[in-house]
Amino acid sequence: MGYIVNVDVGGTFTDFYVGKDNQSITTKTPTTHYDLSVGFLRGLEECASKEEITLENFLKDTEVIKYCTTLGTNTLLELSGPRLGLITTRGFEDTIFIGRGRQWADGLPLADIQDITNIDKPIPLIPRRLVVGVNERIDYKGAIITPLKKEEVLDKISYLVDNGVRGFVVSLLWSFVNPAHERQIKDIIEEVFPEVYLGNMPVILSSDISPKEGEYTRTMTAVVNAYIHQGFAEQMSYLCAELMDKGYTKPIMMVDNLGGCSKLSRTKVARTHGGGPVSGLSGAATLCRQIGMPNVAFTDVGGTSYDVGVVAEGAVSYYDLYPTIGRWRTQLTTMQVTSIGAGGGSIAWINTLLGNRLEVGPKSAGSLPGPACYDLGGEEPSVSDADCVLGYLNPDYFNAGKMRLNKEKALAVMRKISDKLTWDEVTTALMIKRVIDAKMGQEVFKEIALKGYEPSEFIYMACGGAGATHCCGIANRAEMANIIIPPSASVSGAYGAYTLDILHTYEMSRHIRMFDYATGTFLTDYDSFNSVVRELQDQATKDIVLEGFSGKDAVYKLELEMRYGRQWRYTSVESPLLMIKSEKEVRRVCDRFTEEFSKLYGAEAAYPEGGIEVETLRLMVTLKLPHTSPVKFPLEATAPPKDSFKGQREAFWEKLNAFKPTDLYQWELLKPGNTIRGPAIIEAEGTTAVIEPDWTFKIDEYLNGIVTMKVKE
Amino acid sequence: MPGGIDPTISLRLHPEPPTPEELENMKDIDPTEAGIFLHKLYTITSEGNEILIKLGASTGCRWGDTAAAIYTASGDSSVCAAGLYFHSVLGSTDVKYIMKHWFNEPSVGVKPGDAFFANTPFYRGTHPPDMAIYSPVFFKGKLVCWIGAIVHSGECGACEPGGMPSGSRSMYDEGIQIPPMKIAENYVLKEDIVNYMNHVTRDPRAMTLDIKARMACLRVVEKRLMPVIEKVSPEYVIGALRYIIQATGDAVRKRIGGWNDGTFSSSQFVDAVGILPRLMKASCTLEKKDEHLYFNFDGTSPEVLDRVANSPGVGVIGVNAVYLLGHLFHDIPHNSGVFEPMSFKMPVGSMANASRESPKAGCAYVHEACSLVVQNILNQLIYATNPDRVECPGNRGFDTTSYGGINQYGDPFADAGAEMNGIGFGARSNRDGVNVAGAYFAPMTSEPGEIESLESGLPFLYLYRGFHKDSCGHGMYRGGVGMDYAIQIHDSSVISIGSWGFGSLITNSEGLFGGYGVPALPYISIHDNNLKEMQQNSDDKIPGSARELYESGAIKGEYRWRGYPAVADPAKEGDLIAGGTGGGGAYGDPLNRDSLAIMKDIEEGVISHWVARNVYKIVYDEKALEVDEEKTRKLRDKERADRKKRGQKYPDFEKGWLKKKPSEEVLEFYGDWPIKKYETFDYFGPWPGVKKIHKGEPVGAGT
Repeated sequence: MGYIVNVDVGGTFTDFYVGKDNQSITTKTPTTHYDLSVGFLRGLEECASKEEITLENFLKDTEVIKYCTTLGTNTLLELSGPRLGLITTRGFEDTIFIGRGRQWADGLPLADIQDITNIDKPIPLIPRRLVVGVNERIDYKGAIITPLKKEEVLDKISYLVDNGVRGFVVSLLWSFVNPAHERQIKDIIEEVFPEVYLGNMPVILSSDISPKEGEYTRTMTAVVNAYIHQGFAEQMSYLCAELMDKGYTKPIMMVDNLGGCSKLSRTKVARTHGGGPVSGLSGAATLCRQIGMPNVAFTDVGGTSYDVGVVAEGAVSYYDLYPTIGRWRTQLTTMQVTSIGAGGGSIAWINTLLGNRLEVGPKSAGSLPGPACYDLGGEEPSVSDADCVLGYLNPDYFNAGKMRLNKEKALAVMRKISDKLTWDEVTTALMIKRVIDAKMGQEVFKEIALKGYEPSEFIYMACGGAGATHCCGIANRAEMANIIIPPSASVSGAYGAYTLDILHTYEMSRHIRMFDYATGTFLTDYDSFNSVVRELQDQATKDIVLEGFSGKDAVYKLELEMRYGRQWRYTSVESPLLMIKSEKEVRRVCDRFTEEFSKLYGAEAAYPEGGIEVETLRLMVTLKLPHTSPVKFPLEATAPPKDSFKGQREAFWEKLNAFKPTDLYQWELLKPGNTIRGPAIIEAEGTTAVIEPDWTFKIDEYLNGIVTMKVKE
Repeated sequence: MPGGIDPTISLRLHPEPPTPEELENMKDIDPTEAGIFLHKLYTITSEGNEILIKLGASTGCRWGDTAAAIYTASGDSSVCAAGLYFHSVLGSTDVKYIMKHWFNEPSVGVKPGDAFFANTPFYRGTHPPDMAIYSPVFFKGKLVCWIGAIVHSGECGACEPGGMPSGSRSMYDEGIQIPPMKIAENYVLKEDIVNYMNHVTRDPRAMTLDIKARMACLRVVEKRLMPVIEKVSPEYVIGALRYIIQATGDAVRKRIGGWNDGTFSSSQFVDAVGILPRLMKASCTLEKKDEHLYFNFDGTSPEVLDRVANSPGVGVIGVNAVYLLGHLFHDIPHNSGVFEPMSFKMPVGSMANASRESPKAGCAYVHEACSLVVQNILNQLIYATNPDRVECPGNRGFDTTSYGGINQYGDPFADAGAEMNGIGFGARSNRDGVNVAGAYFAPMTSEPGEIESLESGLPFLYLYRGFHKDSCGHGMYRGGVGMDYAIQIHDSSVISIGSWGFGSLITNSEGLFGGYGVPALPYISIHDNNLKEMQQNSDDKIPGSARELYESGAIKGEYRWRGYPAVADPAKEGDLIAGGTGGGGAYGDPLNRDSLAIMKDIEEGVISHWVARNVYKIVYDEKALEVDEEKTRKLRDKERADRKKRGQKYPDFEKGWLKKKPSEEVLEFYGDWPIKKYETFDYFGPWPGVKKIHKGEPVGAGT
């Protein structure tokens, strides 16, 4: 088997994880925003060079490239997408500007949302003058109340074309129940302006992109997709051409935000947003299943971000039903990875209003200038500066020595606030660590608790370049006594991609009353349910063939968004059945919902006698790709080999309330079974693991770092 | 008063004096450690609030009209996660009631696993749909704190559906109004109580789900708190909850200390008393001295004993938490401590401090008017030192529909229109207000919903919903606009629909420094109309906005010009209801508005050409939207000169102005003209020269 190349293009670094025959290569290169192919090819060259072969030979021996990217987000930030026209139902032209009212809050951190005086809505992707309404109306049943008139559509299209639009989005009320009018408009556009004259001007129908209830989120899903599609396609096609020039002829698989991947040609661009963090989460699930750890709090901490995801009972099954892309709320369901902080760049400051309380964040030093110790112009004390002052980070071996840290600068910025607090620099640094560890740990706790689980039953997985540095403090506050640091921690998104199968997801909203509270009867019109499943299956069949598989390779999973009668919000439930054929089976679905609901919120909260409804059906189709099982290495001596010992460095430990000469180790030289008691510092190429007193670090049979808290006597 | 009817509880909104135990336990608390602990408690309430929102059924749950809160053992709000801050703060008085009346009452008592339901306006000060459940948290037999879950439920069994009957003539028309009453014991919900509530309200399923949502919230908050208490000790928790309140008070005090001393006053008018077009006035004078604010509501109109125009004083004060905690003090903890450096003098028998038996269903109108006055005053106060925080009010009309009946599936329903959550916010001192930003009272979470989600459960077919053109105040920086909407009754003929709010006759939200207030709001219904026929024929005259509806007259039928508020009337299939929400006030003279910004407003459908020409006084090509800057400058200069000509010397103006007086009919409930003066007051917080006889319990009326 050849190389499986997995790439995660992040805001600062592009991460690589290459697998072949149970061996792996990892590397990181700076992301080259001006031309992503430069950083990408540079990374591939580094991987080839680690294998001591040429890039051409490396690519020749590559089976597949899986690619996670945030490419589209920049188009939204820079407002550099094409000029689009929106055709919608007359009387509702302002829907995307109203944006469910609180559009101003979408995509903002809590502290900004709480400052109501300074709220503002984002600049729209389509200006109001390029939004037209057509006189038509469909109701909740799909009945046509006001028929569409072709002449009016022609007038509106002419207006938009005259105003220079380069693509159309069509989003009409209730089109997800009855798409007839949307399709009619598309036919009219294609009839009057054939493709040969319009070039590649696309017509995007909201009912095709996301046939789900909610006209704002459905429209924005279509708009965002259309807005970033063109630039994305151009960049990806350029990248493919570069790879072909170097001799690569196999497919590129795009990693999506539901924990799967698909061929570039079968990918909706909006599906790629957030693919990296979700990929990391999926990888965490796979890894922990393989080694028998079913419950995991996956965290990925970088210089500017702190993301959390939950693996429970071996699966990733928590969704964001309305994910925000940039500042835009959409409705293509994604796996839930929550941003809870700003990572190592979080800035510390003194809140004089609240009795000189030391606060950390939410402001961040960002990647540029970054923390003061980066010596790139940062002037505010940050978490990374505190880590530098406390002796946790090695100024000479940051990012495997590719970057030097300036400890003097870190000390200087500590003094900026320590003077006001009557603390010394070290105490200030220690308090910064205490605050960030506590807040992040408490947020992680909440994320688990919200899913109905006990955080203490979870293992804390520390990924990202900065994840392992604070793992003990954060896990402690999250009330978790065990930590896992995978060997691929610093490239978790790329590693996760390695574990992914092909996944296609199809969703459709339909109001189906499974149990009617008034009559006390269960659904008898089974076809109202089954017909939707069949429609989703038909869509899936096309994709399965185009992915180069046959139907028998597909593994189906049906999920339902359900609620009790009169509730507004949904609870996701995996259906025990694909199709329903009897009342008994309807009852099984209802029972499954109440069981899941009770587990999440308590039996007292369940209310089946109030009626049970399905609102959205989600069919997930997985096509398995070949994967290798992790290699289990024999355990060796508990004492680390001598060559892994790098000496000692003074580091400050809260429990000892003092600096202590602390043992340093090189991770890559440790062997399975090696055990190191804290305090200790273990430096790896992509991260630094700080093992606090009362914690013990051990390399397991799979080369993971397992950190365990000493059991209190 | 008989039984447990207690007129003193609602006077205890301010934090209680710290108990000796609290003082002892808070003396060594470090500010940074307290910050960490507060964050922990916040994550707990946040988890509770998310559950509340997710499990509930009323639109209040959807729009985040909720709070999950932790109170001290003596009842002060200390920590909350909320869409609506005043829910948390005003829960204090309910908890204080329980502590005073039930804690030592053998027939009731307070034990682990108990929960108390409450929704009477008499104690918490807001309307009956605001329903709360509170639970005590004990640790090894000791009461450590209280927790609360509050949601605006859509229906309370009043004489009209939706919780706020505009035509109410008595508090006994206003549905269930329950003082703190045990609804769960030993962690089990009392089904007989829930059953009772289901029997006396129109939407039993929503009522039950909302109660279950509150209970689920409380259960999880208690579950999370218990190990925290065990870990840090109950003493630390007791001390920290009080410390947080005191630190909040200190922070507010410190910020106030940075503002200039002075005396400031303002008034706000309400154009409806019940459903009658009558004038009421909210009046307030603020004296700011050192680090304390003294608000005096003398001059406010008297209560009306048989119309919905009244509020308890505690509600008038408590709702200011929205502006204070969401705007001026957004960066400090959100709890009762914000009121520590503030005192309120409330005239007894005024609409802002009404007696128990007067109808309170419309207390929200009084709250809006009085909180507008407070915001206006504070804007004046902070302008010299913090102009960047000066902000015109968002629309405060509280205008929306209320309805009930049988929906398209044959299910009963009753609730209030989500459009209330689509008001325009006010202009800032440096930029425009936000169009359709949310609800004033719950800006962080409120949403007017999506049409499809509304139509999926309600027998409605929206004809249009968009920016409500010209609904903002106009100025150098304009307010954000609200929404216009029209709803056709669809697939049901068993429905009654009315409206809440005010501001259909005169402005309900003013501008600042020459900026205009907002226009009056229309609300009409058109019965027995030809709309269905027009729809079947795809008639291109079907209105796509309020302006088109009113100007074209294309829809034929029986027009009823109703306004906000209106009694819920029967409607049938095909009838059309058309209304709008208002915009925010404007900042600065419209003649100083940038002409390009005006062109953009026109292009975005926010203002009309008429307004551009007549209010902003600009000259431009209406088709190309190109401004003739030179002609505009001249026109504006002329207008400025004309203003001077129209102007009067102040004494002359005052002399003429004081002779003006509305008709006696309009002033029917206004009180003495021009200003009603009172002799007896209730005091909330310390007031110079006023004694208190009990710690934390002011004497009350006439002190």
